[in-house]
Amino acid sequence: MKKYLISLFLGTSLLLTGCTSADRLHDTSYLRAVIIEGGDKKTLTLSFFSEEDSVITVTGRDIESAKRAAELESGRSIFTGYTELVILGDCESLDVLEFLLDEWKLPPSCMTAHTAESVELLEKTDAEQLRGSIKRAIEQGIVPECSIVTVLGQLIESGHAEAPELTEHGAIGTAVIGQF
Amino acid sequence: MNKISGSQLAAMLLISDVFSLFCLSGEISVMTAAAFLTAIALQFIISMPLIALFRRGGRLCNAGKLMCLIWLIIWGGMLLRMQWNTSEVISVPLESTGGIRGKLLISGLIALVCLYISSTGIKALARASVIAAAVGALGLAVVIVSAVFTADAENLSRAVSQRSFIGEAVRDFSFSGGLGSLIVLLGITEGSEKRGVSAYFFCKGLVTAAIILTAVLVAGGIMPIADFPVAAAAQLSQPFSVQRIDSLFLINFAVFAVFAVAVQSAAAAMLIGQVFPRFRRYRCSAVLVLMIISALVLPDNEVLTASAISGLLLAVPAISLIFGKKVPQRSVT
Repeated sequence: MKKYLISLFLGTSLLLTGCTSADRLHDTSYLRAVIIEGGDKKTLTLSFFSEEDSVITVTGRDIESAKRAAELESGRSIFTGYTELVILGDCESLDVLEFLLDEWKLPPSCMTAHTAESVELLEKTDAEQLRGSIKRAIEQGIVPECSIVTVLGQLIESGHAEAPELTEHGAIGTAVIGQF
Repeated sequence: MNKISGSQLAAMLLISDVFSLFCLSGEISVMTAAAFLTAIALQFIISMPLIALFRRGGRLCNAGKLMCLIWLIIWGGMLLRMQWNTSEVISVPLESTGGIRGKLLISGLIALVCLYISSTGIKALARASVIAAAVGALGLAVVIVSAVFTADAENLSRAVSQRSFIGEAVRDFSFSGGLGSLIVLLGITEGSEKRGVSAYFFCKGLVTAAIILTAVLVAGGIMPIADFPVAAAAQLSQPFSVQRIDSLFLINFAVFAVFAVAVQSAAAAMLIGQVFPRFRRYRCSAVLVLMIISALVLPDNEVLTASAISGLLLAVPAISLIFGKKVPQRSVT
């Protein structure tokens, strides 16, 4: 009887460890930074934590369909919960950030920036470098605090917000973003 | 005999209250916290006749029990509906919620677990509630403490509620339907009724203030777009940069949903046994089916809910004092 109980306990323990979904780690790309651009159609450029995943640029009728297209292109599902940097091009900033926070569940520490350059920015400059540049710019008082919650709060309150302006050389100043 | 202690009573009722707060929708502010605390003080005053009834050795008459039974079913249905609505925003980023089929499956499983827990009886449920409340409090403390580190004090003035002070107080009454089970459970509570009820209302005030102020501090800046501010605050309070804690709130939400509904259904099943003694089998199942029907059919009206629970708290002891029988007075130690 004891033997059966121990086997049952071990069997249940194995089932509860989450080993069944271990293959998901290899089947998932972890998003690090994204550039979002466009009005009626959205163009997304996605950069990932893993060096195996190359930068992808996709277009869709909305953000979600563009993300699905990126998943098709990379052959992996995309996890957005650790995204560190959102770069907005010409788009409806408020709607986009609201969508990302609600649906993509971005972490509150995710930084928000603006770029006047094309979606190729992430291909030219590494996401880690861009994020580091923003952090140093905040420390030096060149750009304001730009977490997604702060920027979204400003957009809701006054219709516009200040965010770092990014070029391939890093954060060069402050841009005012508002509704498209 | 099913007898529960004061702390078990408080745990059972608090779980239901905290679950209602998780499901709080619409904008909240510092004024909301003040209005909710005022409403809780009012609820304490309104429940005085109830305490007096049990202190004088009175017990609920059949009409009072029937009124409570109807309310418990309605409130159970409302809790199920709150779970359904709020679960839309509570998810782990990678996992698909499975659309309407997924939501139905989750709600069905919650109802099934409620059925299992409530069928074990009030005493077992009371013991389990203390454990669930303690574990839940720990999880809640982690979320609150981590939220404090990410909080922005300016949000206290930034978050503005569109309601008046009285409107907010009414909102708290409409989220305090769990007081229906207080009427029922107080009759089977051992020890001093006054002390038990006082401790419950004190804890309720403390937890309510902590949850609302945390939600305002964390999500105050984005309040106009946060459909469920408490759930939004839990999502925004991520203390670790490499590990998300969404699942902690998700577990709290699911456990509290199960226990909140189970407390209502166990109390209702107990009342059915007293009012309809011939109805012996499938009482919990019948109660849950009626709760699901009420969740689907009954309208969602804040003022009506607030009036109903206030009326119940006043009417049941009054009717029971007039028509109820007395039991020999217990000696209070």
